[in-house]
Amino acid sequence: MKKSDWILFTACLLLGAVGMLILWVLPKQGDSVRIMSDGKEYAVYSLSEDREITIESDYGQNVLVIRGGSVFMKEADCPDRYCVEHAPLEKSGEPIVCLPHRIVVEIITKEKKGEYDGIAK
Amino acid sequence: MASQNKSQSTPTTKKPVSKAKRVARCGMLVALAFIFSYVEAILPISVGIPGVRLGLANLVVLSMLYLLTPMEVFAILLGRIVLAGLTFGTLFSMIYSLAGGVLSFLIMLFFCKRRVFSVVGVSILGGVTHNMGQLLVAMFVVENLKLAYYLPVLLISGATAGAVIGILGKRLQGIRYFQPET
Repeated sequence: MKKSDWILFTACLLLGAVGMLILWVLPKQGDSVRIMSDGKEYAVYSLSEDREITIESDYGQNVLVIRGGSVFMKEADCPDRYCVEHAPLEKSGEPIVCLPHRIVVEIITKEKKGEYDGIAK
Repeated sequence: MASQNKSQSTPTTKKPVSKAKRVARCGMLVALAFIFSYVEAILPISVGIPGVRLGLANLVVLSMLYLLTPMEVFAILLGRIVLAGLTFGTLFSMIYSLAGGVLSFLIMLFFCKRRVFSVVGVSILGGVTHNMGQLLVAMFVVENLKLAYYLPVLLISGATAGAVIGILGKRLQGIRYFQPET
């Protein structure tokens, strides 16, 4: 192994570690759950109300559960089911993604000021 | 013939490789890479992060970059992806493999010609760019930039898997068969 190999490897690990640290600090408390389907907003639900949502898309079906301030994917008929294995979300930041069904679930903070109900992109 | 003149100047006698031999060799290597994909499909080395794999099949592409022509290696890569995709994956997973495979191939090709890094470094770059390629396609598919959250994890896992494959590749280069064509 050359010295440059070690530098490259260390740089990758460091960069990754710094990135993870930033993403670990960054998440904020949110109040809503936003479901994106195929790049478009599918629905926004309050995080404080427990409910079960069945998301229908052209690609299949996912069942999302909001319970006790956290949100997780309960069922999905996608082939890999990574979204179901994903840990429940409690804060904004890392989303739950179901790639085969093109669904992204994330926690957001909804503006409570009335007119800013929509989401600025 | 120019190639024979050249061979006389070097101690090892270099015979031009016939087209039939090239095709047969590529076919054999596709089969080998396919077996590696198969092994990984039935015995996934899980590290707790879904989708993170060692990328054993990349060992074939990596070592052959140093021995065969770029087009031959590219043919092996495509053959392996199509076969493995049809057998163990879906059309969908094939697109991801293709994006990661082609991007990492190009980067590894670029760096194996330059002697900046050894096989290990080239493999690390391959592992990282493979993951980046897949992430880019995923971002494009779900039309959501939030997927960048997976970037640090994919960077670390890509570099680690790449290093392991690179070290294996380095060992292979010590074997006589893996020395430039005799």
